[in-house]
Amino acid sequence: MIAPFSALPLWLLPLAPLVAAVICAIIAVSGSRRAGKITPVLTVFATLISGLIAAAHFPQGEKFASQTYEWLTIRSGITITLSVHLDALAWTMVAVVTFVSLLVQIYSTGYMKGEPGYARYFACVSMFTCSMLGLVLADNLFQLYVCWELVGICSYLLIGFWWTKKSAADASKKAFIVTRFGDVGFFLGVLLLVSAAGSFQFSAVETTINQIANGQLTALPLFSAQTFLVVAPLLLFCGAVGKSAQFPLHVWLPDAMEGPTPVSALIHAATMVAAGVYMVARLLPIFAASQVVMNVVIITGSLTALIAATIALVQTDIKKVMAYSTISQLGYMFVGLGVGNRDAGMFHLVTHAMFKALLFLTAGSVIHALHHSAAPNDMRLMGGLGKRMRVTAITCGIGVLALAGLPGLSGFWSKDAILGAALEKHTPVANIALVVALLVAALTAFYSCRMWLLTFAGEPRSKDAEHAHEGPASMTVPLALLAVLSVVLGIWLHANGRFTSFLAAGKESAPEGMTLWLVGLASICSLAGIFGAWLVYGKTYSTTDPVEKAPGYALFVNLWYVEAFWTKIAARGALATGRAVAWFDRTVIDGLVNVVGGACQLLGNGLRRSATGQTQLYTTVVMAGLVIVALAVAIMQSGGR
Amino acid sequence: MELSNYLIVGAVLFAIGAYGTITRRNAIAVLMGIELMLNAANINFLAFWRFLHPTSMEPQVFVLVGLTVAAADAAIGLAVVLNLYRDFGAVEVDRADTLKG
Repeated sequence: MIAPFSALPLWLLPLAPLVAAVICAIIAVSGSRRAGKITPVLTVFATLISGLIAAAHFPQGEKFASQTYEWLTIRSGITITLSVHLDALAWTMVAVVTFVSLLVQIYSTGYMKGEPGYARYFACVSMFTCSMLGLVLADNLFQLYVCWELVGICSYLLIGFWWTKKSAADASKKAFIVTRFGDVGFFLGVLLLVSAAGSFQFSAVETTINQIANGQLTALPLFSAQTFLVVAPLLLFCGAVGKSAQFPLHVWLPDAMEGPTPVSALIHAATMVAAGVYMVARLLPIFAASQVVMNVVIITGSLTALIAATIALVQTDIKKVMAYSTISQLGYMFVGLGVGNRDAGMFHLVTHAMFKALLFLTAGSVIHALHHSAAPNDMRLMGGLGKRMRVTAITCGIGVLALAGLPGLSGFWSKDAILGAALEKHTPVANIALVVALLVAALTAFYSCRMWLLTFAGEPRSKDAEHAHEGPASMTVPLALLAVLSVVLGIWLHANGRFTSFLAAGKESAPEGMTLWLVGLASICSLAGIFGAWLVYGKTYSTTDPVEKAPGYALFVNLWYVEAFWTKIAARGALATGRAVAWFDRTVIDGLVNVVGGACQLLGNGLRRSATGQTQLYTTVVMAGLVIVALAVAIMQSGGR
Repeated sequence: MELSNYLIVGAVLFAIGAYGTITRRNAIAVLMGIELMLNAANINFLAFWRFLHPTSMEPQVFVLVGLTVAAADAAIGLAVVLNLYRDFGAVEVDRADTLKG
């Protein structure tokens, strides 16, 4: 069925959504009345084409499809290329991106029905799909960076989709500015690596890093070899920290929930925020050259996982729970990468994309059902939705259990892969990360089940919750599909080491070893979390949330004061610096300009008096000048004699 | 007759013209002063031609051009004087001082 699609040119894979985006944008601008019918079909069709082309070019062993277009050559011999580089790692991401995009787009046709910006929405989503595919298919830092920023701008546009609402406009700005902090580092890292390697290609950069590590290459820009091996990857990691919402730049992701829920599912759960993980996975040899860098990755990941999980415990907004959960799970992925196991990190990325997209879409389903309510996201006003929204409740339950790591579901396998990788590492940092990860597993199970129980179990706690009902088939079918994958994808990829041997692409791959006691411990952790949540929230829910009495509640509900740090200290510091600079500009710079201007004015005032308007005076002066010149000539000539 | 005699006449004529240009308030008198200065230059030209380069024709051409320019100059000057009278109600040059800084 997919064979004919191998005949289509490979470059159509990232560009089909771009075509759809352009057409949708034109329709959005023209304000056609049929926009609601054309744009979703176009968008879904384009994503489908991309997915089918990718499926037709499934990488076989070492062989994979690749196409390169030389864009421009800088005189110093650096060539900038645009590429479609569909190796196993990229293919995995392409599969995730196109699949989740497709489901989210189908879901959006139901969720966004009747929105005024319907065509604009699909234009942005299509543009995002194109940018994300371009990012994934890059084989050079240049394309990676350009697409990295492109997904950023699409995210900005979609978070601020309801831009007339101040909170949405603020959130989009915050997302853009906070990620920019990381992107500055990323950009510097790219420049540093390119100036050392003389090429944008990943392969060339990796070779250069190897040469530096072996001591074959010592002439480096700015830094000595040892420092370079630490600084360059750390700068790249800054970009990942921003994009993948890691501590301390995670603050933008919870606010990004102001965007439409399908967007949160696609961009802020499954794909864009995973771009940082993908980038680190793609360039892992560069990071692995220095143990310091890897330790930074592990520490950032585990710290983020812990902080975000504890904050998720006390959230009352259903989407905020999931946002912090996403941050926490991304931290998990970084732990996997940090201990040097690319496959484990990517495995969790894939399974997480499925169940987190599912969870967001079920949350969207709930919010859609309650959209007449004043606070449709508030879990305290939900309850009892299970009886009224059966499909949503069941699929959400599956997603929750997958996230919690119930043995057998996909989250369990990928989480164990990461835990196993951390165990095998045998370094103090990895051991601490392992303990933290186990703790986070229990917390994750607790808050995800709390979220489900508050939403779907018990009795309705508001009028709107009583009148909630299931959405259209366009919304429930994607939920069912994702739910099935959330159950089976983990075991299917894990069985026979399918995923690792696929990513190894024909090379020898170490089979995933599972340490039995660790698996048991992880299972106990997640079961304890699930059971704990059931004990606390299973029976009744009074007006006060039991977590409010938990130790550390003040810390968690205040988001570990990270938000406060940014707004109080960092933002105020920036403001103070700005004021100082403004003062300098107004007094010193403007003062200099004023001095020059004033001097000219004074001079002009003096000279003005000589212009009397009396023609005859001018003539007299000219004559006098003539006489003086004549006399001077005469004197000089007589002196010469 | 010597060259210097002619040059003295020219110089005197120029000095009278310059004096008239600078001191007279009547615009027409100023114009007359300018004409005197032009003619002083013409006399110098012809004197130098006659005594120093009697074979070359250029000085005569210069003088003819000078005369033509002087005629045009007078025409324009009179037009200026006419406008001066129209705008300021007088032909005194010191009244026309609107370009005063």
